[in-house]
Amino acid sequence: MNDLIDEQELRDAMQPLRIDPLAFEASVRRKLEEITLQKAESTIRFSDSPWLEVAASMVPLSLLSKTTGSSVIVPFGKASLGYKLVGYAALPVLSILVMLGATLLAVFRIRKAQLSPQSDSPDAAQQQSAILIKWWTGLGLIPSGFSFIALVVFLMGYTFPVFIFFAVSGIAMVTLISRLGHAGLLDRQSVGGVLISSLMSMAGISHIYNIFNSGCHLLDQQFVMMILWLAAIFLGMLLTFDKSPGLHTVAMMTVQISAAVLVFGFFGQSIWNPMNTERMKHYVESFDKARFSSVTWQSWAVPTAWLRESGVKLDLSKPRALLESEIAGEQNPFILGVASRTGLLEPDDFSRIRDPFQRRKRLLDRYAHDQSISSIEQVEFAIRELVRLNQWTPGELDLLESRLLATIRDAMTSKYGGLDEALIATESLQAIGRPCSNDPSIRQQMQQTIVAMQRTGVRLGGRNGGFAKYHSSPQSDLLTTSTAIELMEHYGVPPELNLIAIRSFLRPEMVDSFRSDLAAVRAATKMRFENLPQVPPLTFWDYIRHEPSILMALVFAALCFFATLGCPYRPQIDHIAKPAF
Amino acid sequence: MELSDIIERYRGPLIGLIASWGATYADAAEIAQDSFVDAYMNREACRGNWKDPQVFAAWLRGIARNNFRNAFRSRKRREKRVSLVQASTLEAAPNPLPPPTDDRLERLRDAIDALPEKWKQVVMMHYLEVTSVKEVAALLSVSPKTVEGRLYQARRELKRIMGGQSTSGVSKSESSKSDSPTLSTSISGIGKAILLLWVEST
Repeated sequence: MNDLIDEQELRDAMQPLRIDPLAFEASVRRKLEEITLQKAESTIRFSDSPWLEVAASMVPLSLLSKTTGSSVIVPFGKASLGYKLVGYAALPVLSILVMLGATLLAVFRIRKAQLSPQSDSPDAAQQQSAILIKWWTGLGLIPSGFSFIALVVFLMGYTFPVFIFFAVSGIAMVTLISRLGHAGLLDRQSVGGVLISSLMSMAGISHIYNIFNSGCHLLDQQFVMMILWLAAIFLGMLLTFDKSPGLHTVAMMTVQISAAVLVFGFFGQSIWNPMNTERMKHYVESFDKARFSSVTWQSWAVPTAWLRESGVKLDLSKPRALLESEIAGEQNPFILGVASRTGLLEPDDFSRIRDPFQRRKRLLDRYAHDQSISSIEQVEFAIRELVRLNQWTPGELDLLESRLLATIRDAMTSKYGGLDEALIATESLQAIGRPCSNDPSIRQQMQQTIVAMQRTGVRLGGRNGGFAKYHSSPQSDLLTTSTAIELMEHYGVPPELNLIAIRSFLRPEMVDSFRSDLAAVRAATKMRFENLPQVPPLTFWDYIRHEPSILMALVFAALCFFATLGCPYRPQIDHIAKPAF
Repeated sequence: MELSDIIERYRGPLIGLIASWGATYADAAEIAQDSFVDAYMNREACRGNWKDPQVFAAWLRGIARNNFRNAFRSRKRREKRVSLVQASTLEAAPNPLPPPTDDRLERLRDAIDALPEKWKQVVMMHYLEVTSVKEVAALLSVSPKTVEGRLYQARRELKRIMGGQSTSGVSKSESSKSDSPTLSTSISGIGKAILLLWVEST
C-alpha cells in the first residue's frame, strides 16, 4: 500500500478533534430528560380537561403568550370526537382572526431580531418562525382555504350560509381561547394585541372586498371598516385601561379616543352627515354652475322636482340666473326641457327662444302621424310651453297624442329606446290633457318594460339593482333609475320588481359628503321610491337578511372582545397544573 | 437498540459527517447531540423498524441534515449582526483548536479539508474515532464496499497531496518503494482501479 497515506497518521491528525464520549452522552441524556420533563408537564397540565387539551393543541400558546414560552407542541390527545370537532370548527376563524395577527406580529418580531445588531433573541425568533410554519402547514392551510372559499361564496351572494359558517367557527374559537385564558395560559394583553392586529388587517381586507362587493345591501358598506377599526381602537383602549394609571396611559387614551373620532368621522359620514331634505334644499338653491352642462342640469332636476312636489319652499334665484345666461346664450334644448319640467322657465322666456315654432312644425308633420318623436328631450319644453300658451288646436293635439303614444311604444320595444323617452312622452301626454297611464294594455306593457330594464346581476366594481339606460345596456344608471321610479308613479309598481335591489342601488355611501349632486339625486330618488304606495316599508328582518357583512363585522368585533375579556390580565402559571374543569 | 448503543455506534461518524458539511467540530458535536435527542424522542415516527441499524442510521442522518440546515441559517443570521467586544475579551477566549504541535499533521488536516466531498466525508467519519466501515456505510446508506473504495481513493489522494512524506517508519519504507514503480505495481494499480470502478457503480 505504498501509494496510500498511513491510517495511523490519519488517526493522529483527527485525534485533537475528538470529543469526550462520556461528556457527549451525558449531554444527550440531559437534553432528553429536559424535553421529557416538559412533555410530562404538558400532559399533566392539559390531560385533566379535554377542553384544555383540544384548545392547547389548536392554539399555539408560545405565539400568543409572552410568558407561556413552552415550545412543546401539545398533542391532540385522547379528547372525544365532540371536543375535537369544536377544535376543528374553530380553525377557520382562528386562522383569519387570531393567527393572521399572530403571524404578522411574529414576522415583525423575527425581522426586528434579524435586523437589530444587539438583539439577544435570534434563537427565540427562529423558534417562533418554526412554530408558525408548523402551525400553518399542519393546521392552518386547509381551514384558511375554507375561509377563502367561503369569502368567494360570500361575494357570489350566498351570504347567509357563510355568515353562519363564520359565526359557528368564531364561537368555537372564543370558547377555546376563553378556556386557555381561564386556565391562566393566555393573558389579556397578548391575546388583545394579536386580535387588534387581526382586526386592523381585516379592515384593510374588507376595503378591497368592498371594491368587488356587488351584493344587495341597505346600508353603506364602509360601516364594515368603521366597525372593525373602532373595535380595534376600543380593544386597545381596554388594554390601556388595564395598565396602571400614569401619564403614558392618559396620553395613549387621548390618542385612541382621537383615532376613534377620526374613524367615525371618516367612515360614518352617512350617519352623521346624511343627505336629508335640508341638505338637498341647500344643494338645489345653491345651484349656480352647471359643470357638465345638460347632465348636471338633469341631476339638479331630480331633487328639485321632488322638493317641489313635497311642498318645500325653494329660493331658485341662483338656478334662475344660470338659466338666464343659458337663454341669452346657447339655448341648449335639453336644459330648456329640464327648466320647463321643474317650473323654472317663465312664460316670457318662450318669446326669447329662437325658432320655437319650427319645433312645433316638426311635431305636427302630417306624414309622421303614427311615428315616434325622435329626440323628444329636445322638443319637450316646446310641448309644455305651447300648452301653457294655449297654442295647440284640437286637431294638432290628436296628432301629437298619436305621435307621443308611438314614442312610448317605441321606447318599450326598440333596442335603443329607453325609459327617459317613455317618461317625457307620458308627462307630455298628461300636459296636453290626454293621459295614457290608465290604459290597461299600455300600463301592463310599461310594467313589463320596467321589470326588463332592472339590472340585478353581479357587477364587479359597481352597484347594480337600478335601471339601465337602454335595453342593451348591462349596468344600472342613477338618472334612469330616478326616471323609472317616476314612471312607477304613473303606471304603478310591477309586482315582479326586485324592490330590495332598488333600495340597495340607492343606499347612501361615504362619498355622498363629497359629491352632493349624486347624493341629492340618490336621496331624492330613494324618498320618491319609499313614497310609492305599493312599496312596503323596510323591516328589521330585511336589515338582518341583507347586511351580513356588517353583522359579521359586529360578530367578529364581539368575538374579539369576548376572547380578550375571557383571559386574565396576567397569566396564572402557578394554577395551571390542576385546571378547575 | 439502547440509547448508549446508538450513541456509541454513530457518535464519531455523525460528528464527522456534520463537520464534512461545513460545521466546526464544536458545532458538529452540538448538532449531533440534538440529532440524537430528536431521533430518539421521535423514533416511533421513523418509517420502518427503528431498531434496525440501517433504518435508524438513515433516519438519524436525515434529522442531522435538517438540524444542520437550521443551525447554518441561524449562524448566517448571527454573522450578519455586528457586536462590539473589548479586545481583552477576545484575548481571554480559549482557542477552539489545540495549538499546532505537528506541522505535518496540520497540513494533513488541511489536505483532508481540500478533498472532494465524498472522500472527505468518509475520512472524517471513519478516522475521527475508531469506527467500523459498516457504521459509516449505514449512516451514508451505501454499501461497505463503497465506503472502502472511497477511503482508498481518499488515502491515495492524500498521499499525493502530501508529496509522499510520512512520519511513521512503515509509511516511509512503503513510500520509498513507490518511488520506483515496477510492472507488478502498475498491473495491481490497474486492477485496483477496475475494482474501484465496480465498487462505485454498486
